[in-house]
Amino acid sequence: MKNNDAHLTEDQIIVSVIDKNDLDTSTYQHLQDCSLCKKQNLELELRLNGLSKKAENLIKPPQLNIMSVFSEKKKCNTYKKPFIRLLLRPALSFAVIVLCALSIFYLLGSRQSIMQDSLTTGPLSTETLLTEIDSDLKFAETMDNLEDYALSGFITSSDDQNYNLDEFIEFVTLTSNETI
Amino acid sequence: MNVNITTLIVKKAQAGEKKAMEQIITNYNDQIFRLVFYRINSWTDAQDLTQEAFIKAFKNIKKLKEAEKFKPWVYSIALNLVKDFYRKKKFLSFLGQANDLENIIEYDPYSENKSDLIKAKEFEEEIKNKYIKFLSKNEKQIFMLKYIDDLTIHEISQTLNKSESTVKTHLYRSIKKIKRHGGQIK
Repeated sequence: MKNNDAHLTEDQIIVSVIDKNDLDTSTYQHLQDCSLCKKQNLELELRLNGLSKKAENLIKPPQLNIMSVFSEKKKCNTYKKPFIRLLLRPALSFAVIVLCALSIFYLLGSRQSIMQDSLTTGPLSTETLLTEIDSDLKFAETMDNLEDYALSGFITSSDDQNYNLDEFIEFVTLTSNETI
Repeated sequence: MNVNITTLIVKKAQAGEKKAMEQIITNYNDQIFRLVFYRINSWTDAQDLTQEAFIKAFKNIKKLKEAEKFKPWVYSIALNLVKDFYRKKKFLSFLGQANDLENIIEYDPYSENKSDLIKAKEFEEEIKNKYIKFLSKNEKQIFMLKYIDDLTIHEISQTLNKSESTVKTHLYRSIKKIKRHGGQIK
């Protein structure tokens, strides 16, 4: 605004409210001197700045105990370590110890019984070993016979009932015309 | 509060001094709470978010290179939390599980004067209907920071990581729009 007598425009009033330093020197000077423009500027400024004051006065924020949250969080972090957690929970740690002890006793007991068994039976003589081998071999032989002639009484072998190899192949394989 | 004293306190907090942290909470608790409350309209959620903002700030305070920028930094943390809050709310409303916060006045169970809260809610409605209704997202944000949270232009530019001239332009446009739409400013 070059003319010092001309009043500030609405835009200039807005600019003056946001930051007076953004006005050019002559406008700024006019604002300082002109009571009307000064009044307009003050009114707008008061209205806008009044909002923050109102916002401030309407609410009394609660005092939060944030530091306690921090100390609680630190405590929680220590709980994360499993060993410390066990130490801090006596019932749980007692149960774990009892379980460990029982499993050790069980393992030791089973090992001892195996050792005792081997001690009571002792080594076998060669004669008994040979007779045992003989009986095993006989048993294996009878098993082989049974496999070869299983249910021989129920099966009759006649050539009529046998399928020719070609017929059989024809039966199980697809011809060129057939498709799945 | 003196800027140098604040910087000193922040530096002490960065060194892990609990008393300095407590001092920071005392200094900024009210401002951060108001910032959150006037944006989410819920007393209990505002309490939670304020607490979360401070916890986040103290967890990362060592990362803050310039101690003098603590205020805009903590404000930006709070604003991001508000953004996250709305994102969550949007997601929950999409799932059909969110309450319509807009229509609920939540009371602080320990508050002695509930009428204050109703007045605050009314004021929030007034701000919404007469001022920020006509503004764009950025203009709204800057207008609120300037005229509700009482931040300086320099502080706003640091909080939003925008230049001061951008902030001024947005403010200018906001006031002009409010005037044009016959808002409270005449």
